[in-house]
Amino acid sequence: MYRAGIAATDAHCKTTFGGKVFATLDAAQQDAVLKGLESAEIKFDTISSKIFFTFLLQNTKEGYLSDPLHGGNKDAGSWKMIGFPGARADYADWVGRPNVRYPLPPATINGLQNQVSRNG
Amino acid sequence: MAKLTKPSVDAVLVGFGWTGAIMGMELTAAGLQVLALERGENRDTAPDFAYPRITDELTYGIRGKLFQNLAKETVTVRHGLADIAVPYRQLGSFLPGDGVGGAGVHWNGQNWRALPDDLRIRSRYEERYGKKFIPQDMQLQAWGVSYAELEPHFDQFEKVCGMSGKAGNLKGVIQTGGNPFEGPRANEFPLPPMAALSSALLFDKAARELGYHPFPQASANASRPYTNPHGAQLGPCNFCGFCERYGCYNYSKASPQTTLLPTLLHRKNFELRTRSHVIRVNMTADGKRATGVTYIDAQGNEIEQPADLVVLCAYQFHNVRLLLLSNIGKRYDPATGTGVVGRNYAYQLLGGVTMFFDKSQPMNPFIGAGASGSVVDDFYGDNFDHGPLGFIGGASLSCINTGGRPIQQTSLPTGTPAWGAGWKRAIKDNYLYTASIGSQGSVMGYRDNYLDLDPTYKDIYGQPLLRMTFDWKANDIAMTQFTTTKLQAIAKAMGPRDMKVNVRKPGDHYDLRVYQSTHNTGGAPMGTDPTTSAVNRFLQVWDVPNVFVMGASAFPQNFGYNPTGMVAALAYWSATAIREKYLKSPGALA
Repeated sequence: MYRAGIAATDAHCKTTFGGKVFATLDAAQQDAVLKGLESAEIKFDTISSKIFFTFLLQNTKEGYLSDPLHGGNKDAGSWKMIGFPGARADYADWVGRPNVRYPLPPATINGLQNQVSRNG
Repeated sequence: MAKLTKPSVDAVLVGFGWTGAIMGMELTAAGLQVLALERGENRDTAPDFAYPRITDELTYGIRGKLFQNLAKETVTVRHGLADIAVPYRQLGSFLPGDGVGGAGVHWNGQNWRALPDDLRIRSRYEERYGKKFIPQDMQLQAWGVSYAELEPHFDQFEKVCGMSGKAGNLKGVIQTGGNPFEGPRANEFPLPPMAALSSALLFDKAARELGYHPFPQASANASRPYTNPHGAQLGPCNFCGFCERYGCYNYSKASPQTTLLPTLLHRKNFELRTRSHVIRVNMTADGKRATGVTYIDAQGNEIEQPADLVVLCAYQFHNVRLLLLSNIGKRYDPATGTGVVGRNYAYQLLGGVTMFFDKSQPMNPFIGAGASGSVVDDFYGDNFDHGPLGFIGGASLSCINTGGRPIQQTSLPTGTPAWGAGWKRAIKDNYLYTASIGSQGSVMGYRDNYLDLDPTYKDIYGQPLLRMTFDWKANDIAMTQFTTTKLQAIAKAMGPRDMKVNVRKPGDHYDLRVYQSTHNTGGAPMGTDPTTSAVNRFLQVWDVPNVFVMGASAFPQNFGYNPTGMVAALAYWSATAIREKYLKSPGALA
């Protein structure tokens, strides 16, 4: 799916954007191509562009929101942004305290992320 | 590969989840030599569910490490008799278990007892609304067992699990704070209810203001340290938020591993063989007795295992498939409505409301437990007047927050872009401030919702897959439309700034791709009439007295409740009948 989908997307970009592949387009152009895949206005000969986009979006969100051990979500950045404490998974003391934000930043399966300065 | 025959045992259990563990305990206590065959791997808290590895959402929650591998065996699904069924290749609508403990490892621990009238549903509706109230194609039928008969067994399972909750009816006296609609209990719960989460406090208040009767969800996540009658110890749940789809790292969630196996696995008259996939029950030439089972072991050898007694303890649809593959019982025929094996396959119809709160009200959704929450039973069973509504059944309405795992459990307001900067802004603004409530609705049995063997697709052993023919029916859509309206009213009273409603509408078809419920039921219904039930009221196959079939396959129609409490009570009820009656005089019990 990915081999065929990426090749077909780049082929489309080269034709439409004067020889440029997807990775070298600017953000607005990239968004336009992604919208074309999502709506199936861009069609591939090999696979369904819409199904390729569905997989791409789902797997991208998985990488973005999963534990960094899978290779995405660098420094637990998405978890810090939304407020998910990750692998802390121990909240007995925080039950029944309405309207109080949990205070600690995320932990990951391989430890705490960038919380303590190396210089102490 | 070699064909081998093993020495005979008194009883063989096919599958080793909750019902296998219960049967194992009860039949070894009766002195039988018992063998459990489990197709999956052995699993236990350490090392399989250990912290922090178990908090990996992608591996367990999304890729489903603990679930059945659909590449080896699955079911095929179609909406109607004229359609061609296709295999369920990607986990979606339901999540069948695998391995020791089965789905009892990765359940949430929400526990229910059937209402007394659930078990005599046809009589109840006929008495109150008249015979014409029941739709023509609905095969509404009694269970053949009463609440009073099951009460000691509900109680037994609650004690085994260290169930946390509040009684609503003690020996006929209604108790403040519990479910006023429940049947009479002999005893209070072994543990007090779990602490209430932020969202449940809002739900409880809103439901009370609307005149309903909210109560804490009965939970198999321990609220206190507990030692069960077998000596197994549970520690208090710490609300880690990794419950359903995960094993519990904290010895807090009741599972076969945390409640029964520490005792059972040490009994001298018990043996467990894992990676042993049963492919059929073997029968005598006249088809009147089982002689044992045949299974494929981890090396691919075909093993014949003789046994005096065969108990099917696998998941609902595996039990039905084994009956069909073994030619046990008359196959159901939807054209005539006759036959019993495959009859009355049912599911559940769920609705939901997601609420988005102001920044002054963080919900901290990651603080969760599988069964911590507040529930309303006012619109389930016959707890409300169905006369003017014209449908049968209902839904429990609940605010249970099992966790805030970001890939699976994020829900964003209507109109949010699916990706890009708009999506990113929305998840940043809403994640912490989101809460959800749901309606868990009943589904009845219908003439053309059923199970049989697929004519085309086969598993890795070359045996036909089970085929599921199922779609929503007007009665159940009317039920979910009504109960989800009630849910919406509660959501509104909880005071969110925005909300999003998910409800099935007339004309909607069953969508296999979206997770809904692993509460598949029926296909080997229990009852007192052999023309409409596959097993008698003791879960014994009619006409094959040495085969018993456990599990939700015995449900003649489905509840608006989680099934495990009922499944476990039926297993204890059946085991008691085997111990007290069958073993003294092996033959038909009804």
